[in-house]
Amino acid sequence: MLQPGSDTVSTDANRKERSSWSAPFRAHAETALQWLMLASLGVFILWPIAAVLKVGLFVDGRPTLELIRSALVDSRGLLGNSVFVGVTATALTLFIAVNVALWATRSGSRLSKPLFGLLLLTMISPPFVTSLSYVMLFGRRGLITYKLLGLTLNPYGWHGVVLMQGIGFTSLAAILLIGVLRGMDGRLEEASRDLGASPTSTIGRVTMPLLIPGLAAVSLITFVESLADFGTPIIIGGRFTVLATQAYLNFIGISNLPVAAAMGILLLVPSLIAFLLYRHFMGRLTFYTKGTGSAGEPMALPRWLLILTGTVTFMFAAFVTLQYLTILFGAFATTWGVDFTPTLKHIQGLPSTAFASISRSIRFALFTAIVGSMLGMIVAYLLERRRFWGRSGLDFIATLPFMIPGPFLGIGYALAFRDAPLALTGTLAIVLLNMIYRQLPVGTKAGAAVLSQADPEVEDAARDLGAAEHQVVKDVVFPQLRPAFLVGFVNTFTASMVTIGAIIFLISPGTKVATIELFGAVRGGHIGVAAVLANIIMLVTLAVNLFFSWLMLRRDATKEGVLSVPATRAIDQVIQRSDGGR
Amino acid sequence: MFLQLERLTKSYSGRTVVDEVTLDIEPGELVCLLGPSGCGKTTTLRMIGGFVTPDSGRVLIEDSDMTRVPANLRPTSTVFQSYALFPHMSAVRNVAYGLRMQRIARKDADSRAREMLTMVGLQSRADASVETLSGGEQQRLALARSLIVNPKVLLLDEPLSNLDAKLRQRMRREIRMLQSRLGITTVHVTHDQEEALGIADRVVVMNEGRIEQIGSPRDVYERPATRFVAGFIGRGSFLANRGSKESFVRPEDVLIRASGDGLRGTISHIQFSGPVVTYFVDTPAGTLQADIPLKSDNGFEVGSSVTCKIGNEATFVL
Repeated sequence: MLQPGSDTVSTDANRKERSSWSAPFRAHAETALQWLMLASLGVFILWPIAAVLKVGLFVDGRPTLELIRSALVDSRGLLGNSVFVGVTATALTLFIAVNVALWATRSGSRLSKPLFGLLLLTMISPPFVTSLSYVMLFGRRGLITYKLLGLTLNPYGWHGVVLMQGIGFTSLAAILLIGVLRGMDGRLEEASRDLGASPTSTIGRVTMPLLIPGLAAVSLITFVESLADFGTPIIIGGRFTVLATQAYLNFIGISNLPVAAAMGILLLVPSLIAFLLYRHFMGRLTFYTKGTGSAGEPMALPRWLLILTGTVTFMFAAFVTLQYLTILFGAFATTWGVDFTPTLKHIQGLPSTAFASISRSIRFALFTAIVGSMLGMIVAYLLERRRFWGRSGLDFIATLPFMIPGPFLGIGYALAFRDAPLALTGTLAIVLLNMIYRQLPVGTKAGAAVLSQADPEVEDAARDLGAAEHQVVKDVVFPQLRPAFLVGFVNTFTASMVTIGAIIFLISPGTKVATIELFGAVRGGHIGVAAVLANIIMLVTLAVNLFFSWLMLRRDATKEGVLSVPATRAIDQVIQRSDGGR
Repeated sequence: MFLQLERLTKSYSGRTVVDEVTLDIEPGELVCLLGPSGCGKTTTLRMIGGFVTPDSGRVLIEDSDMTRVPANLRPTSTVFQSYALFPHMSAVRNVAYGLRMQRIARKDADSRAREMLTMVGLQSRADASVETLSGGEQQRLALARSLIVNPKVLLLDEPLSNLDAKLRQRMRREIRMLQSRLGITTVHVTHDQEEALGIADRVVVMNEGRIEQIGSPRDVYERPATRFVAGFIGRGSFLANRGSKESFVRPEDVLIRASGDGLRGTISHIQFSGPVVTYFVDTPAGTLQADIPLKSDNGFEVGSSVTCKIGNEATFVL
């Protein structure tokens, strides 16, 4: 039984005592935190962007389009090439991913689960894996073209780039679309059938329109990724080059910074247009995921669609499996394409710097994952729970690294931190800072996803019961963010392990990481060594992913809800992952 | 006065959601804020709890001004509509939280939390995780968590709206009994008039941010002060009157007979609802509803001509 009145006095005393210090402390600490975050994002995201714009758009302090024009003229249609590859690769990805997603969610096949596993596995994809396997399968000494068919083809050109990008981006896209399809309210399809629509009309008139927001997100992500990808064209493009490649060559090869910056700007324009279009259309579209998913079995596909999706899915899965097997066996073949005798010579023959690079990759990725996720949680908390001046600005800046092509941000860091006051060229700090801020959206989105689902009244309840603001954060907000932190940690780690697009502009011999080592091996034609490196990167990343997935599932067995992926969450997940920076 | 609201006003982007709300509440009283959604009742409650700062006006508890005091330092406690239980804590930890915030040692807090859980009948679920509790159990847990801090004012934000009809009836009784036993001053927000009439000492009917009427449940039902209150609470018929007036008639105040003095009309529809039969009678002044107790029903049929005798009516100027 409650004792009314017995501790009213002590309660009041307590309240007065605390009120004397907690309120001003709270106000100051929070304002300081908000300004600190705004300032740090300003320095490490906005300033590098501004630096590129300054170098690319100004000559001797005067604004001019001279550099842009010369970049456009010199590059002889590079922008067109980039956009062409971006559009066609995106179309290919969309086609495969829609088929795979429909089949995975609607075929009712027992193979759906292993397929999903394969998609997850292939999302951990070090850069150059697709191009490397392409060379190994279809190159001059390719397993399929040369060994099996006896052809000696020149496989280099835009066809290969589009094909390999299209397939490479599919895993991510398909996982996103599967998330949207699973989150869809199945009763809508049931209602359509109930009103007399055939399965085909239902797919056409209900399912696909509901999938449009997902398709828009997938298109944006794939398009931006394709533009930023310089690895695939540089390896298998042959004489076909794109902006990202040329920006890299200008920067690293001939140190023509103004032209590299101008090309970076050209690269940014289509990405920004895609992003604005996406925002424009998404503003009107909503994810119709209210309701609790399907009541019964998912609707069966019409026969023709089952056959189509099944065929596409099977071909995709077979090709991807072949790709990864090629890389795996390539590490143990004496001379790929000529002599397939098993050997350990590539492992033994790894350059002495390789192990240091691998160890650096792991340490950098761990550091980035921990610091980046914590930073992301703080930004997410400020965005989701605080009203303050500059909030929408913070939101925008924190999303910027996601829509900016990796090379642009890499060039930005190189230019912004060349000279005082922050001269960081060649340091460890510039690489780590770049990785952290580039992956910041990963943690932020994970945190925001959880907080936007969590009921803010829960925090009100804590305040109501006497918790001061710092206690609310400690007792209620952070414990709820734990799964988000883990998701952010794993995804940031994965993205950091395979990142190359931005840091390639910042690496010095003392900060060389495994992906750079891999790039060197691929460019030098050391297929065996490249395969070994790719395998090591994949194994390490996979091990960390599995360990943390196990950890999360074990500790949050009852809270599966937090980790399951309804549509908008899937978008966030993909946005996190897509930042991998190939 | 124990709890006083003085001309509380709050606008959101130019729209006034609470407009000069003034209310005095006695110690130990249970007051219901009743109104349709969007009438400002929840915003009023949140201003009492300290979650919304009023644009103007004051909140006083025992004569001390609480208007600018943050929620954590106010002697109020809220049972939220969503219950807002801490999802990462067990039932007993949820209840103990408020005591822990008062720097009470964990052991002590836990044992008092268990006593409180016993009081609300949840002793066997003390160590259960919040998600495994049923809706009714979560409701009791939220109540226990609020009561343990011994608030001067208990705030209930539509606490029963997530429960099914049977359970709602029972929880309504339990809350009222607990509240009178503890003598705790309570402000209860609801859009369910039956709930408000059944539980409150006084009902405050709100509409578009303003108070329409304050009175006992009987008052607001039998003597509605405004046309809105008449129409919102219970059922009834508005009849056109002489000139610019309009009268309001409760269905139980109407007697219908085959002939005699009164308002003549034709039965257009009949609804059976158990204890009473409701006749809809089309008259020159408008459609009149008449509830006839089942025992004294004469079994009129649709189309019959009848006369209605009106026992009691309220008149409003249009």
